Amino acid sequence: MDAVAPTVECRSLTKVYGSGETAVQALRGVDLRVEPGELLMLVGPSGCGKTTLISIIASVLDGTSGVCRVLGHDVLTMRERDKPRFRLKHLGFCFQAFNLNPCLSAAENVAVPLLIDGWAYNKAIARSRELLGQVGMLEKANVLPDQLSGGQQQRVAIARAFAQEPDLIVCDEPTSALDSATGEKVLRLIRDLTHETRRSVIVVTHDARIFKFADRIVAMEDGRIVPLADSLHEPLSGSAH
Amino acid sequence: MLLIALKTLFGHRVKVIGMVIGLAFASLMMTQQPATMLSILGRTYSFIEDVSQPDVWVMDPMVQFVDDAKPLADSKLGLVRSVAGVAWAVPIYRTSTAARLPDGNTANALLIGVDDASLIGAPVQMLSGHTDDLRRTDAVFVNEEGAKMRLAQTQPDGSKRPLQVGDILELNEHRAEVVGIAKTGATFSSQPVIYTTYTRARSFALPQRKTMSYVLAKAKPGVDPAVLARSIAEQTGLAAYTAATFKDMSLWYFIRNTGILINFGMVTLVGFVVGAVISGIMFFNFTQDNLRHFAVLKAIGASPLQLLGMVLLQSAIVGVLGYGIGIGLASGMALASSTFQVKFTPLLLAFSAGGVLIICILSASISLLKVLRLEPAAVFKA
Repeated sequence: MDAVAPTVECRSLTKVYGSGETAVQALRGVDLRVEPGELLMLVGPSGCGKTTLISIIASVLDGTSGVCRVLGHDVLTMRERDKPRFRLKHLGFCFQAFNLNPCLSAAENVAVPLLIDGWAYNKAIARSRELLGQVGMLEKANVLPDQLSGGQQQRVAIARAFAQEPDLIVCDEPTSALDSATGEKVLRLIRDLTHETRRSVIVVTHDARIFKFADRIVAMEDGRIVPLADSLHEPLSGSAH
Repeated sequence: MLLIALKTLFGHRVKVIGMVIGLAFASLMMTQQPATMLSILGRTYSFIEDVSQPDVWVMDPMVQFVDDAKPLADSKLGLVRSVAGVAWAVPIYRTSTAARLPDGNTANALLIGVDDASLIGAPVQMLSGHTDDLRRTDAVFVNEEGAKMRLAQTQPDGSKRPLQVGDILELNEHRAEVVGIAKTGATFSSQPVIYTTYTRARSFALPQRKTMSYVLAKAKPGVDPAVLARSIAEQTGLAAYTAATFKDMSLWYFIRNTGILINFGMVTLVGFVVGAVISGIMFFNFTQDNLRHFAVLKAIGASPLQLLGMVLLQSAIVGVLGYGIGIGLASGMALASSTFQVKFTPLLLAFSAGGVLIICILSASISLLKVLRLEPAAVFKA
C-alpha cells in the first residue's frame, strides 16, 4: 500500500477566512491521507471544517497554507485557470441537494460533465444512458428531476459524478435528504461503483447509519483531525464489498 | 453546453416571456417612433425632392424653409438667367388655395405652378395621365394622397371616392380639370397638392404684384452647383442654395423650431430605458435563480469562457426574439395606418437593433459578473 501514491495527501493544511480581528480559522493544520480505492468518511459537528476541507481538496476553494496534493497535484499552488480542467478530468461531485438542473432530463443532467468536456450531444447522451443503467435509472432517462423521488435524484447525481470516470469522488452529505433505506442504497451504490474501479471517495456526513460503508472514518473538531470515538466506528460489514 | 443554456433558458418560460416582452417593447418604441419622426421630418423637404431637376434654388433672402416662400418679382428670373454658369432657370409658384370639389365641399390645397414651356417642377411619377397633359386647357394634376384623402368625393351613399382623372374642381372660381394623378411626397400638413402651369396658377390665385416663389436653376456641365449658388447670390442679391443645402435648411428649421425631435426622442429613450429595465431585471432574476446551477457547472469544470458563452447565447436568443417581435409590431402598425406612410430604413432598423443589443449586453454583463464571481464552493452549501 505504501508504494502506491495516495489519492489525497494533506499536510499542515490551514484555512483562514477573513483577516484581522474578524479572521476565522476554519482549518488548523490538517493532516489527511486518502488511499486509492478507499471510501473515507469525514465526520464532525457543524462548523468543524469538514466542508472547508473537501472544498479545498476539490479545488473549489483556496487553502491558506500547508500542502494539499490531490492525485499528485498540489491544489494550493495550482493555477486558477487549470483548476476547472483538473476538476473536470479527475473529480466527481455528489451534493446534499442533488443539484440537478430542473430543465434537463435525467440523461442530460448526467451528460453535463461530458458536454462541458466537448462531447457531441448524442454521444454524451448514449454514455449517460449507460451510466443511468448502472445506477438502475435507465427507464427514467428522459424524465425531468422534479418527477423523480429524492433517492432517484441522488442516483442520477451519482451517475453524473461518475460520467468522466473520475479518480476521486467528493460527496457532501449525500444521504441527509433521504430516508434511511434509500440512504443505505445510495451509499451501497457509491461503494460498489468505486470499489470495482479503485476510485477514492470522501464522504462528509452526519448520518451514522451509513458509517458501516466506510473503509475509514476521520473525525474533525474545531478545524483539526481528532481521534475517533470508539463508539462511532463500527467494523465494516463484508457485505459492503 | 449551448444546448444546456438553451434548455435552461426555455425551462423558465415566464421569465423568458417577460424578457422578450421588455425587449419587444423597446424594439417597437425604438423603431416605430424614430420612423414616424423621420417620416414627419421627411415631409418638410418632400417638395424639394419632388422637384428633382434643378441644382440650385433661388429665393428671397428671408426664406427659412421651403414652405416659407416669399414672393419674388418676375424680373428676378432674368437676373438669375444672366449669371454665368446657369444652363437654364425657370420660375415656380407655390400658394395656398381653396378647392371646391364636385360634391360641393371645399378643401384647402397647395397650388404649384410650374414653368409653362418646360414643365420643370411638374411631378415625374404619374399614376394616371401624362406630364404633357398639363398643357391642356384648365388642366391640373393632383397628388395621390390628396386625391384619396382630402379631395375624395362623398358619394350619395356616404362612401368616399378618390378624385380621379376627368373630375372637375373649382379653384378660386376657375374651372380646373384633373388630367393626372401624381405620386409625390406627402406635405408636412398633409395638404393636397395641385399642380398646373405657372400662368394658369397665377390666374387661379388671387391677384398679386409678385408671384414667383422660387427660381429653379440648373448648372452648366462642369460647374459646381455650390459655386454657382454663391455666384447667383452675389450677383442677384437673392439667396441661392443647392437642393441638398435647401433640404437641410428646411429640415433643421423644423428640428430647431418644433418639439418633434425632443418629443419623439424622449419616447424613444423611454422605450429604451423601460425595455432595458424590464429585460435587465428579468435577466438578472433568471441568472439569480440559476446561480446554483452555474455554480455546479463551475464546480464540475466549466471554464469561464463556457459560462460566458452560455449567458451570451441566452441573452442573444431573447434579444433576437424581442427584436423580431418589436419590428413585427412596428411593421404591423405601419401597415394598419392608411393615412400615414412610415418608412423603415436599413439605418433605422440597425439603430433599433443596436439599442436592443446594448440592452442585451447590459443585462448579460450584470448577470455575467454575478456568474463569474460565483465561488464554485457554493455548491457545498445546502
